[in-house]
Amino acid sequence: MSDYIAGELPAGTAGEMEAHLAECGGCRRTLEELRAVVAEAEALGPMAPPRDLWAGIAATIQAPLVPPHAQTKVIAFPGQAAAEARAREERTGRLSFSAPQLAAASIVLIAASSLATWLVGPGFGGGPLGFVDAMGSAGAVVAASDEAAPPELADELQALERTLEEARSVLDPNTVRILERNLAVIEQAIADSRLALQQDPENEFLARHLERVYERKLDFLREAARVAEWSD
Amino acid sequence: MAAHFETVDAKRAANGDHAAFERLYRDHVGRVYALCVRMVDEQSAEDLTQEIFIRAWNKLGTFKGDAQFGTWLHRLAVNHVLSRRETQRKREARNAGGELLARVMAPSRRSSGHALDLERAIHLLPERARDVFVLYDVEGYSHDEIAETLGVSVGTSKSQLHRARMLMRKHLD
Repeated sequence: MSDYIAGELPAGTAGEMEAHLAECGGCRRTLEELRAVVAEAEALGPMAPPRDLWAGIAATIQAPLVPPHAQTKVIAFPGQAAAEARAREERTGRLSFSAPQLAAASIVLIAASSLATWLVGPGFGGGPLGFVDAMGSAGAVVAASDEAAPPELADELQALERTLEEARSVLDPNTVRILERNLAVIEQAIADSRLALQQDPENEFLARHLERVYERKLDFLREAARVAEWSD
Repeated sequence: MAAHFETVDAKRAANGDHAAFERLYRDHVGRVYALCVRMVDEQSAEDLTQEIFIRAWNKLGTFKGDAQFGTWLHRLAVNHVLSRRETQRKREARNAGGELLARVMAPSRRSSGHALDLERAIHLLPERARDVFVLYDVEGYSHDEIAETLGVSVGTSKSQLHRARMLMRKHLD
């Protein structure tokens, strides 16, 4: 009968159906009811969510450095800068990251707000994107950011931050600039996430998101500490 | 013309333009959310909708503009719902079965009158019949498209549709 409604029955079969419907009141009623169901279903429209979901989406899509499909646009070393970095590395023996290393590092750079303190501390204030200017006092931002870190992660985060603070001088300045540029985006994403959560504190999605961000931050700090060891 | 602007916005969003993506979200969130409510449930629909748009953002690089953005997004949404529902079903299978029944019996808060009955009746359908009913009668998919999406034959899609309609007729009686 649904094929008949859709007009998909072969002509002969459709004819037989119509002949039967002409004689059978029960089937006529069923057909009418099925057509009514179809008409009502087709009339169903969109539904507005009970609340605006954009804040949670925005917080998440702003957290990564860039959309994954465009990631290399941000993390790739400009050719000139890469050549200069390699030359500098050869001259000074200081640690520099290759483009693949930076690409790998970008995965864990997300939410590395404490590393931002490390990078934009004395000697790094006001990076190429005006990180400190944009964020206000870097220390204040990170302090506020740290307040939202899960308690079980806090001790290890602080220990790793101390390790990295001691090791920051071994990093190549070009590497620092790239990290700084990415971290400015990350820091903004953390701030946005926290703001969204403050505005919608019952949103479990946002809470889970912030927690995941801090877990990634911890992963990054661990990785960065290992890199610092290599440079000793 | 609207489709043209959407394609432009999709390309802008693929290059990281959040404002363009927000416009696409505003235009399509109602349809995506409704799909989630009807194919899963109202309680899960908000999370699913957010996940779908985040997934869409991450996959914008694969949108070539051959189809309309809405069509592309809707396919992505259906596939995500099917995937997540499978995960949820496995989880619920480990728990008491009463929770799911209680949820699907819960009326939609925002519907009223006959629309409420229709929405509730959709949730009383067996899962496969509900999938086909929502995709064919509500969303306008063809049986070929449904067969491909759900991994069933066209004949199965047709039989499930008829089964769903007959059950809907009964539920709405």
